[in-house]
Amino acid sequence: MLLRLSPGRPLGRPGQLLRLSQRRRDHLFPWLLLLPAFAITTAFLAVPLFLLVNISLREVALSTIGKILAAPFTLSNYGDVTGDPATWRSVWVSLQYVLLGTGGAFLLGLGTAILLNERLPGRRLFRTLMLVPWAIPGVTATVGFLWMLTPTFGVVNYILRSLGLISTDVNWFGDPATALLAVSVPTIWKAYPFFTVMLLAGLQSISGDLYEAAAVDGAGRPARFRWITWPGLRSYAVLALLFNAMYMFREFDFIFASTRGGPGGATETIAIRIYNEAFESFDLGTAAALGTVTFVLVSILVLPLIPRIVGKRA
Amino acid sequence: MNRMIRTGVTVAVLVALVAAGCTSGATPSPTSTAADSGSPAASTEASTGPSTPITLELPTWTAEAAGLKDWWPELIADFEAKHPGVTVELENVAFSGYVQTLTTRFAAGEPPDIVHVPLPTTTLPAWAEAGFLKPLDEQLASTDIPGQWPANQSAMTWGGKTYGVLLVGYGFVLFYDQALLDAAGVGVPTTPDELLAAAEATTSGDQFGFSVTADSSPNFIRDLLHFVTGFGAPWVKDGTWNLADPKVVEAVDVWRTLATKYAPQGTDINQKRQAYFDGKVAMMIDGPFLIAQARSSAPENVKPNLHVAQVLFPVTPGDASHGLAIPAGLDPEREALVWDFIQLAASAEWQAEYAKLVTSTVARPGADAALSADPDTAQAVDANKKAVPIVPNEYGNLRKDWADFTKFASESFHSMLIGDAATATVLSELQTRLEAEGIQP
Repeated sequence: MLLRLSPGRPLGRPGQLLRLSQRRRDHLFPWLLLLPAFAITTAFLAVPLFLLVNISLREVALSTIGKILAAPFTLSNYGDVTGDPATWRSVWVSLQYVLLGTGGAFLLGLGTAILLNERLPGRRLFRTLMLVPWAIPGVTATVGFLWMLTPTFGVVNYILRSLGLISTDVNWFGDPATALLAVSVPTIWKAYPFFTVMLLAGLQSISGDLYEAAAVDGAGRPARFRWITWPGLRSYAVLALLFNAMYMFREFDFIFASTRGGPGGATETIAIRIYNEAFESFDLGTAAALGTVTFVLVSILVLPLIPRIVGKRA
Repeated sequence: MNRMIRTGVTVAVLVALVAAGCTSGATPSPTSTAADSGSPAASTEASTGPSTPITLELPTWTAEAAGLKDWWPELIADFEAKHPGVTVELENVAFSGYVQTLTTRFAAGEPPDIVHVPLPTTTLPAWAEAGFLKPLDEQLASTDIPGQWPANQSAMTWGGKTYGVLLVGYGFVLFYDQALLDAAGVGVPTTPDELLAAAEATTSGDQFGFSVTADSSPNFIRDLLHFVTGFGAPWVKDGTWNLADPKVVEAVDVWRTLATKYAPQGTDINQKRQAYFDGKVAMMIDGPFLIAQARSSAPENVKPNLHVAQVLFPVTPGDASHGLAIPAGLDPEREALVWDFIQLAASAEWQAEYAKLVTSTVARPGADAALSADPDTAQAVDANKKAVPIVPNEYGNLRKDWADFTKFASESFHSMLIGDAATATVLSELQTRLEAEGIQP
């Protein structure tokens, strides 16, 4: 359908069907370059997605994949999942976790990006060091924070005690009131470099002339941020927030390595719940149904935003 | 180009979306493990003849553990010497993802040749029920295992069939720091009352009398069950929960007092042990396999003070540590080889070597006799002889629904660590909840 004849050429000569105008070739070439990646991505996504939905419709617990796919069809897994209050509690915990983690990482990333955009001594070194958290595996980071936040011997409580901010140790991971905040800390620490990189790129695309003109007009730092920096950054920020939020919605490492969803379900996000159903309770049908519900929920939340974001970027 | 940008971003978002949705069914690590490693079983089976080289795959979480990192290679070398042309490939998998990895491989029809089963009391039922493991009763009938092996071997059974051979079982022991007890002017406790008194006497500032696991892992529940089992508390009666029994309440009360008054807060199992090794905690109850770790990890000034005694309960709580099994559906030649490997690992020679290298008790009676020469490890040998499993094999539903039980139990027991509700009330409520959820012992 893309192979149209060049206008004004007579039909019938051999090879003419493949002769395209320069304009058409320019349009076609990027698509051809994208095709292998698109085909591979589709194959790697389509098969797991098909399996996920298929298993979610089977009346089966733990078995081999052959037996699972031979099991009778049922909708009961979806009934169990959507009728279980624990599912919706997990969704709520996930939303809080995404908001906390993404919001915290964004603010930290924004601050760091603005700082690293200034002409500071050792700026190149700091830009490199800033990426370190990104390179550290999530589980490793979590173990480090587990030790720092351990109530009795941890350095965080020690500092808070020394400053007179607490009189009794805070059981960060063991108290349902603080557990979600505690698991969000390593998440923020690991995620903020992503925002820094994205926002720094945005900052560098803003012309310095605008700041000079604003300074001449007597605009202070807050005004310059409001009227120049933020408008220049907004599309980068929204895109980064969107990607990070989706990433965090399925985040697993930090929570599993620290609280495994406890105490009392305080940190049981939908991803942790899916894992527990699949590999603790060995209920693959329910786990797959939860995965499918998650997929649908994230789609509902995110897909409407894409045209707006892309439209603005374009 | 606008359309290009739009399309590219849309594709990228869809990638992230599907990743979000697919976290469940097949999390990245197990899927990639199964797929990347390929299956020697699958790849060699097709071309295997009697004379072709065979590689048996053995994934384990213990390949780099102290003592075991020596035991496995020596055992494998002996096996390979006895079976020319056969290679055993040892692969280390982190314990945190071990059950997940193997479960995924079983489900994908790509099991390893030799199945190393961790904590079989609660891990084995799901695998056996799903038909992943081969019953070994026929093979076992010609060995001394059914007659000689300890009660813990029952952890390798499910539905009346035996699915493996237990390699290691143990009785829990009391670890104590002699210097801290001496400084407080108390002796090694021999009763729960003495334990509470000693814990109180040794707790001061950032030094604590006792240490428990107080995280959200299954170790939290196992730690508490030391007390329930140790008190001989009948937490199950006539096949139903009996959590409000005064004896159960008494046992849990002792644990609660120790955990809230005399122990560092919020410690996971590693932090609990490290605090003891560092000389910050006077006592803890744990498995005897830690004796070697205490001797290697503790600071030089603390090391001589760390010793072991019998738990101070009327009953010695114990557990089945790990065993070996054969996956269902293995071809006969491989199956025979794996059975040979299991028999070798369970032989007197290699069980004794295990005891020596790991400084741990083992399943074969008498094979750990050499440990009796050391006063501390001798305590472990004694404990192993009289150990009573913290999750008895006859609690079939509990073994199968262990994850669900620990989820609800964990919530209740955590509430005892941070709340004021009476222990009897919390236990009664837990029992009601378990019954309402259909979780039976």
